[in-house]
Amino acid sequence: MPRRCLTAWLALYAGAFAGPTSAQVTESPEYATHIQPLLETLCYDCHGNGADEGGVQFDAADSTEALIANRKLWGKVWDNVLTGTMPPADMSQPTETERRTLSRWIGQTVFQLDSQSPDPGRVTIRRLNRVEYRYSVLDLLGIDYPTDERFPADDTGYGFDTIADVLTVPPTLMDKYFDAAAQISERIEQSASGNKKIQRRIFGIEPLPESRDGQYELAQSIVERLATRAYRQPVSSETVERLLSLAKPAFDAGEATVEELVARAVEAILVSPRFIYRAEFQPQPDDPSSVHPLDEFALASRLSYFLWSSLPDDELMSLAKAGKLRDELPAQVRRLLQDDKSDRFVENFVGQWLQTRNVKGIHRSRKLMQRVRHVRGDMRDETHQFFTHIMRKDRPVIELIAADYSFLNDDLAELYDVPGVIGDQLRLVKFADDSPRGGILTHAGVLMVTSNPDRTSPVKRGMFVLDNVLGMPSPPAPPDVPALEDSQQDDEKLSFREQLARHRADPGCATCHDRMDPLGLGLENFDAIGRWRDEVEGLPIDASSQLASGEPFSDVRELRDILVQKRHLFYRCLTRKLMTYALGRGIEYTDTPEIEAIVDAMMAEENGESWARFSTLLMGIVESPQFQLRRGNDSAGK
Amino acid sequence: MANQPEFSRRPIHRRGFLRGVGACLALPALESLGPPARAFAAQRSPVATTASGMPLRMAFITVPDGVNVSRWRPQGEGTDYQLGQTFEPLAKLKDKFQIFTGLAHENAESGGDGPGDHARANASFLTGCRAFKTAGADFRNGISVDQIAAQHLGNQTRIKSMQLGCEEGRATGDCDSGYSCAYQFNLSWASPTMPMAPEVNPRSVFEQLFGAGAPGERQQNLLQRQARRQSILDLVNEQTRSMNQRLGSNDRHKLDQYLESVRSVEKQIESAERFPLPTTEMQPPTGIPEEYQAHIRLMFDLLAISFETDSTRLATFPLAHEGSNRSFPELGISEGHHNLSHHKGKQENLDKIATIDHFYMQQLAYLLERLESLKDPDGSSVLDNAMIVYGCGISDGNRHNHNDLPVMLAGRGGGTLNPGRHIDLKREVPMTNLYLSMLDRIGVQLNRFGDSTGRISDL
Repeated sequence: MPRRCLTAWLALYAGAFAGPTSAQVTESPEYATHIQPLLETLCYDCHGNGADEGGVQFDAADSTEALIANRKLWGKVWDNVLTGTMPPADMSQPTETERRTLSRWIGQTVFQLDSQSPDPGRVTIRRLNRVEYRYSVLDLLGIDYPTDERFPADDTGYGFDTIADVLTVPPTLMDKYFDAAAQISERIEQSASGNKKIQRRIFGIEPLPESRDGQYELAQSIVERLATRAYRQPVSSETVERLLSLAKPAFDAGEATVEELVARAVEAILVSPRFIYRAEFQPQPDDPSSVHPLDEFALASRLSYFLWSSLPDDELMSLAKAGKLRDELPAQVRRLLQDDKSDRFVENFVGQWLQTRNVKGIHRSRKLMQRVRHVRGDMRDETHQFFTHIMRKDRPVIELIAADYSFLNDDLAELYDVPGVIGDQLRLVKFADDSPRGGILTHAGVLMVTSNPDRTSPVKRGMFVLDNVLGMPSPPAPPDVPALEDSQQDDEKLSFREQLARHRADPGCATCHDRMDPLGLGLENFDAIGRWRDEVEGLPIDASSQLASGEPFSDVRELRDILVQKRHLFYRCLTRKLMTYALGRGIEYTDTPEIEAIVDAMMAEENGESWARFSTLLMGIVESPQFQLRRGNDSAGK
Repeated sequence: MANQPEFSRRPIHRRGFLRGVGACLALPALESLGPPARAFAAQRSPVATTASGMPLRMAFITVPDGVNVSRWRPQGEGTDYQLGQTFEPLAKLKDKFQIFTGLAHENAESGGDGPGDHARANASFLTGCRAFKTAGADFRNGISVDQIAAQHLGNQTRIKSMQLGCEEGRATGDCDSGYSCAYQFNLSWASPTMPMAPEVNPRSVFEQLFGAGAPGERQQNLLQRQARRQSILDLVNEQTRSMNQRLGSNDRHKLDQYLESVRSVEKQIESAERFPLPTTEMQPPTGIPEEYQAHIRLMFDLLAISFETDSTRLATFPLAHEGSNRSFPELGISEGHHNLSHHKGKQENLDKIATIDHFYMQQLAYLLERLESLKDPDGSSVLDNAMIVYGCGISDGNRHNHNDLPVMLAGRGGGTLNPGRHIDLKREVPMTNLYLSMLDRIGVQLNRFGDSTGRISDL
């Protein structure tokens, strides 16, 4: 279990300096004796002896050293080997042992990864995105500031809006930070005469002390508490006094109330970089070999922004203060997930992973719009409640793909042709045994956002499954070929399937489209808004196809069965997505061994009757070195 | 100019700085070079001013996904030419703009970076630089032409530059082929790592221009707001500095950007003291109009009024992000624009693209007519005293080509331009050559910008 690993390598980093360890390292296989023969058997038909398909040729380097030094090449080989993308289905396949040997060699020899002292990767200081800002203010002060209307949209990377490197603070945003802080602070000022709820929330006691000294002491303790939570780490008494100094002269002169005193301090807190940025401090921050466990306050922040999109609550803060958060990690993760605030995780993670964020406001062609306008919100809620159910009830992760239930109300049930659902509340509905529905790929919202405004797009859907379910690397399209959906509308008379087939006959297109198209074709029975259909424009739908890896299927049910068979790919894909979202950075090759370890732990949990639980996945991430450790920058001033 | 002596000691920095910009170099902390360059510029004769002393404005407006090239392309050359069909809404203003054939953006081409033409087209459009291919880590573009101008404009206007837009969010999921969405959604770049997010809410733009609150109270509200900000700026600076000392280089770079933006707030406070807010009859917009056309036009109204009142002289406005797949049910087009742009030569698709091109051109006509109707004190129109680039970083959406770009330049540039012509350059000329020539006219003379190879002599 990952838990044991956590303690093992945390112990290694417990010292002030973490150098290379002398712990026993599994010898890496030798290139000449172990790897080259493998490549010769498995790869040289296309990538050796003069063949250089896709520009890859293993025996063309000047020397073995030069070949091994080509990390770009081996990075791709690693992806392809781990996902089973290469060798292609019609070529002879490596045994599981051979795959692992190759993978271990790439990790240890090419990337010099040492499982005893894992590289946690570089995490950039992260600006709160506008969702996190909103929830942080809400949880800190009980004031809901509509950042979605007031702040510019956040830039995104790797499919998420939590990516530190692209979260910038342009002058316009700074302007809005000042405005937001002033408006929020005014609410606190006015709480004296108006909003008792805010007053109680912030001042805690009633009535307020009468003496000025008593009031000032109260303000000190309030500002200390607020600054500690807002900055997510202890603050010095100097900082508290500095924050109070803004209105202290006016307060001392009797011109400002204690509410104003506190409000001005809050205003400054909210524009401070200590609030706007989640900083993680470490010794030797510019030394890439300097690896340290996160301090527990930073760990509390990582946890709460991961699962609540907000700052840590009092319990997380006091555990961090006592240095006990790491000891109670599983219990705390459980607590965070059971709390309603983890709805925000679903909203933001699933909202971007499965693009359900786009569902509620989506525009469709005029004809379809009439049908979906009032049910768009339900579509989004279905996927969110479904994910929440699996998360909170610690259900098997594979249910995301293959559940025999979902969450429906009357409108969705009508869209899905499921009888007997009355009322507009979504509730768990079990599908009939012969129903094609089940799992996210048959959710109307997902089917809709992967369609064009007026019709389905098997290419888009196939691409979506590759990227978000199977996590298969797509080889780069030839430079003169646009990325997506351009194979469509070729000819009037051909069915879509025929058009695609023709397109795939071109070897330049086939490498990609052989992978994408079958997945999309398998979903063709669902129209552009997710309704079941047996024919399109008078022609019966044929949803049968064959995956690039060789498995044939006749319809969506069989396709789903294949995806369940290949669930290790789904587990890996979801792990990578969650890790990207949680860490706020892209996944690097240095992360591969830890991701594989999480997938292995999930597969090891399954024995024919039981399936890997959601908690195994989530704890795997939370306990990974990537989440627990921090290292210095690898290059100055990049 | 209290700071002048200190800065004028090292004017040499300016040339070094500008050369760096010109080559799209991976500059270290650009901020350290910024202030001297700006101070130097401030010593020169005022930039962005016409011979008659009027403000000279620049705006850059883009449309996505290429155009129907045959409907866009003019017939004939020089002054004796026929407008393409797409220009029909602009027919009345034919002597107020010039159309180019032959402009190109080489850095939008694949160049070994594989797919991602939409991201590159937008990122290079105003920078002439090649976007570093990344979905996040080490993302880097170049400085855009409007921001170069902004650095030299100094404190001549209350608002340095405006970034307008119509899209409330970013695409969810991956953006174009492994590029961060930052490249596709931000037209204006203050530094290689500082994209300037567009403002989409007309009310925010209005309040920036005229202040918040009841008409009689806006000036006072602004002064109060600025005083309030002033009092916490020191504290923010202190906290940033003390935090900085404990961070690594990457993080420090982020905080430097933060400090730079804090400084821009400080400068706003200074300029609020120097420039009283203009007043207006216009009612504050209530929010974002539901109709796309109404949204664009309201933003154009605000753009026109900001130029008229000389609140700013620089603006960028992508009408939709490059690669936009918006459908136009109001025009009877249910397909997405991006899908249509891969037209495969089918007439039906090409006709729909032309309809969308025409729609966008109608919006431009609305803006240009507004600007033409507004007069500067020297008697010429605001349009006469402006240079407005309108175009797209992709020519034909089906080919994704970045040469022969559909680009036009409206306005007389304060008498420095000779509009009313179709200029066929006869060969591929970097778009940045046009920008160099425009920068010349506002008094910012650079040796190079982006991938420029020279200037366009006849404008």
